[in-house]
Amino acid sequence: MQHMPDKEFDQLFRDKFEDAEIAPSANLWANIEKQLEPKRKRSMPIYWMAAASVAVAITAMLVFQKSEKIQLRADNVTAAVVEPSTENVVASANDNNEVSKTVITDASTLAPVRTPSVKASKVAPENKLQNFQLALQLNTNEDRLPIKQQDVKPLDVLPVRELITENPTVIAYQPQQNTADNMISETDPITERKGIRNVGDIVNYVVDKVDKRDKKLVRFNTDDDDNSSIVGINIGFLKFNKKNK
Amino acid sequence: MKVTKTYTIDECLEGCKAGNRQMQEMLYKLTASKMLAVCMRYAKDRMEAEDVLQMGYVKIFRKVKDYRGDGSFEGWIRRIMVNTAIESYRKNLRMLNVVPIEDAYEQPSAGFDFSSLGMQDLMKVIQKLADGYRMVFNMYIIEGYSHKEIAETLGISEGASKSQLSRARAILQQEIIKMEGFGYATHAG
Repeated sequence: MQHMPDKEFDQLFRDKFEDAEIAPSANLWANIEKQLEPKRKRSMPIYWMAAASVAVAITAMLVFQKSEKIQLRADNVTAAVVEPSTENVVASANDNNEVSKTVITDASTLAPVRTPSVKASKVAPENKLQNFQLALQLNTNEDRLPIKQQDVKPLDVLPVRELITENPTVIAYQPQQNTADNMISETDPITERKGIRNVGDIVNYVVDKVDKRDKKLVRFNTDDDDNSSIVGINIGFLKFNKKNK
Repeated sequence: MKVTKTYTIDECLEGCKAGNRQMQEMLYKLTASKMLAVCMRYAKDRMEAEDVLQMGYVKIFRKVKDYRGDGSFEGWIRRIMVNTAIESYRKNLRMLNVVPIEDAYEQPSAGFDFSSLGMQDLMKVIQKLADGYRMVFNMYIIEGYSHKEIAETLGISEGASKSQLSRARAILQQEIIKMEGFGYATHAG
């Protein structure tokens, strides 16, 4: 028993522990093996996720396509509001008919002008008066005052008939095509300016940042209040775009 | 039973790099007892040591591709074990600042002979040390880290590393004398 310097003390410990062995518990290897297992299969879920996301995209597309019928009506309402197309109708009507001029001068706003266009597309030439009233009722839905002036006056004016008979082809086709084009080209910049109001807007915003292609990966129509519907999909082999239809 | 041929540690290397499960198990069987002894020095008890051992082997098998062959394979395995033990200690720094009562011990004046003490006894004494002391003691005396390295790894000052080491030594000597005394007493009795 004598005093031991630090170096000696340390060396003794080192010697004792240098080849020390303590047998681990029997089940330890099984635990390690279990922990190693997941790494082997890690590549699988990526394929599964890819497959799943494609499936989701396709089903979403099918679902939204079915609900499109409802969407179409909503589009027509917005189409009627678009002004440029109705101006076209005014021009064509003015060139061909003297009577329509009188109608337009009577009511100086654009509202009455729309009556010939509506009539032209829907009305059969037999019951002019009834049809005319029908057209007027349509207009009153839009709460414009000038229509009420017309309620009284145009009833006396018979020659509205000519408008119907001469122009039907021009008026019937033009507005629909024009409005369809105008509507879509106008809604796009609007949705971008609107800011983010719903999930569709968020998706559009993110896709805009990420996907610089002309046809985006996914594009939602977010005009409606609640229901955003898919307007375009572009996953390489699978392309779907409402604008093209 | 299944594996008839026995391999050396180095012969397991290629199989482990390829992710061969049997070779991994072979390497484990060859090295686990030694590595558990390493982990035991750093841990408070056997349970904690086996947790570290398990984490260490998982890390070894995942990182074995990075082993470039500088130094022995066993040395590399051992280094990963020590690092895992230190990491685990740093994660549970729970009792770092709790200074045990033994801290009051003074350097024993009498020398002693502990050749009679087995490794298991010394292990018990080491495990009784406060966590911080045990870390510094293991890293400096057994693993051969410098005080500077210890200070950087544990996030303490070099001075703290030095003072903790000398206190750890003092406590260990005190404890060993107690054990020897107890041992003689039982012998005598």
